[in-house]
Amino acid sequence: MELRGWKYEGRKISEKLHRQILEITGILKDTEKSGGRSWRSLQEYMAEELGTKPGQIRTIKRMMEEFGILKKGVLKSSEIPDREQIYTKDGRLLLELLEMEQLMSQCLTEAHRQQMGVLQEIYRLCYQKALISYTCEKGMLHPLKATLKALKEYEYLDYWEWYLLNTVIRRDDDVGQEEELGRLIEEYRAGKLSFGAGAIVENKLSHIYVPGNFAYGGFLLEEGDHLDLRLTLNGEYRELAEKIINER
Amino acid sequence: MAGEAERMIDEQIDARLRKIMEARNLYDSAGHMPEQKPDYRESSPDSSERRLEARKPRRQKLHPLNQILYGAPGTGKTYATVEYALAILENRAVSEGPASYQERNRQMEAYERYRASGRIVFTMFHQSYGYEEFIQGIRPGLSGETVSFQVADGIFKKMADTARKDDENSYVIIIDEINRGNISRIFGELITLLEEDKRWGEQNQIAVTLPLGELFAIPNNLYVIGTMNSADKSISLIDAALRRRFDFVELAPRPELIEDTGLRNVLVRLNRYLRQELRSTDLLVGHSYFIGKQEKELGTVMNRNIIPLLYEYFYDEEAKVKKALECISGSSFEVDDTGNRRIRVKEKVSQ
Repeated sequence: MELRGWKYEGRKISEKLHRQILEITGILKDTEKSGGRSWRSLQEYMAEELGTKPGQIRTIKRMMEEFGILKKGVLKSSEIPDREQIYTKDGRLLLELLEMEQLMSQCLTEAHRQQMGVLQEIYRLCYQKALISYTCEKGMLHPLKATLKALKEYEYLDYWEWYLLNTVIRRDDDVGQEEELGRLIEEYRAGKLSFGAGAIVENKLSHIYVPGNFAYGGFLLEEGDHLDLRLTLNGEYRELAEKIINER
Repeated sequence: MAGEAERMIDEQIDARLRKIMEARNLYDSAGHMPEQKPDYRESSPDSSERRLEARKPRRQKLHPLNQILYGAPGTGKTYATVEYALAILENRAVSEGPASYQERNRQMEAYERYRASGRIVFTMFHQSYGYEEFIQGIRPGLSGETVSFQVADGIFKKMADTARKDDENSYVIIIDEINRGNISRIFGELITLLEEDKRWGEQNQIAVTLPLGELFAIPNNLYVIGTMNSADKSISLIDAALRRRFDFVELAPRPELIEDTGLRNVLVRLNRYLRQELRSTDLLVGHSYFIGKQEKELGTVMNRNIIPLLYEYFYDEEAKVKKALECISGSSFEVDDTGNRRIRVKEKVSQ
């Protein structure tokens, strides 16, 4: 059986990504730096400033679209970005917070430390919102919902079960696909089904990026890596998980 | 899939934003916030005992319900509120072009008519403005010969109550210098009610019981226009709670509106320098100081309006102010840095 991972962007939510988003938005905001440049030329400039490659800037841009910070498709290669129009409302909020945090970090008082702690909580909540809305399969599938549903049903998922989930579930709440997944997991856990190298033929790093982001959002816990991977629900957000599972 | 889960997260974000907002305003929120927090309830008009009149969802969506016009001093923010308010009440797009003398007169006449009928209210926030003046408070009054205390509605509550009962018309409250007031103190917990989807009549409408017992909601036909001087406070530093509930419209300096070519060039050169030196679009000079003026008045405008601003922008660093004043080169004025006073400009002495 061939296994296929869900589509992902090749970046995980992390402190480094936070910082890069902040630097990119800083350049976009600074008309001295970005004024008059097309997005294509800006990518090269940003890559130089951030010490990375233009391809990475494009990935971060797509992450920013996925997280609902940037409006989708507003940064076009040949056009000069209109800094007033490119951000979503939630995106503006997140950027305000990132800027506020940067200012606070320049003057680290006890009050600022406490407020920065609250900001971290808000980031996590913003990312939770973004992860709930994150879709693939042309909007037909909400991977977070599918993952939470499977973890609730099967208690945990290991490396191969993660790819079984990805391969079989391609639409939200599709009873036929869910029954098929149930049957395959049962066979796999009974030792009647096994996989070897080369079984995964598409999106082979999905087990790193997708659950990695869900774990960063607090929805699940990750233990081990690669073949030893084990995903379980994070009890702290059980109520929220239930709400996501039950949403139509 | 934007349902209950997202609402649950939004509430948690709001709670944390309020926490930060209050922390950032500690020095004046203490003792000013209403002690009793409003009792929030999501309610449909039929389920509440002391119910508010039902309203239909908003059809007119040309304009955001909450917007702030921001820009450097002299960019015509307060001037523009007239056109923005009229555009809302007349359900048309905002005219961006310059208004002729006659057009402006017509605008002002219409504005005055709406103001007289109570559909436009203009107010200004200042540092001691509070919840009691804006929403509701207890004020002393004379009853016969004795002083008694009565509940008095503030300007915002009065307008919200009137608008809520009117199914036909829109209403506009203009809050000049919105960033000078302490938002958390003035709106208290009611800031949540400003959000478009929580306005009375909309899907997630919310009514609250005010500290003095009355049921209150902000209707979906009450528009709020604020103005904000971005030189006072960069918009990236304003309270996050306010930031996320308003749309922001930048009013930039528009030298093309200045008729006198010499003055127009002065402003263009000055702003080019400020932008380069201060690396900000917040710390510029607007066109309104020069509107309707001629070059012979340059000295008065510079000495009375622009130079004090430049001293503020450059934190009294005279060398930079002097450098900024190179913008007048080519005019019949020159810099005068003699004497024990601030730099001025004076008319060149003809040889």
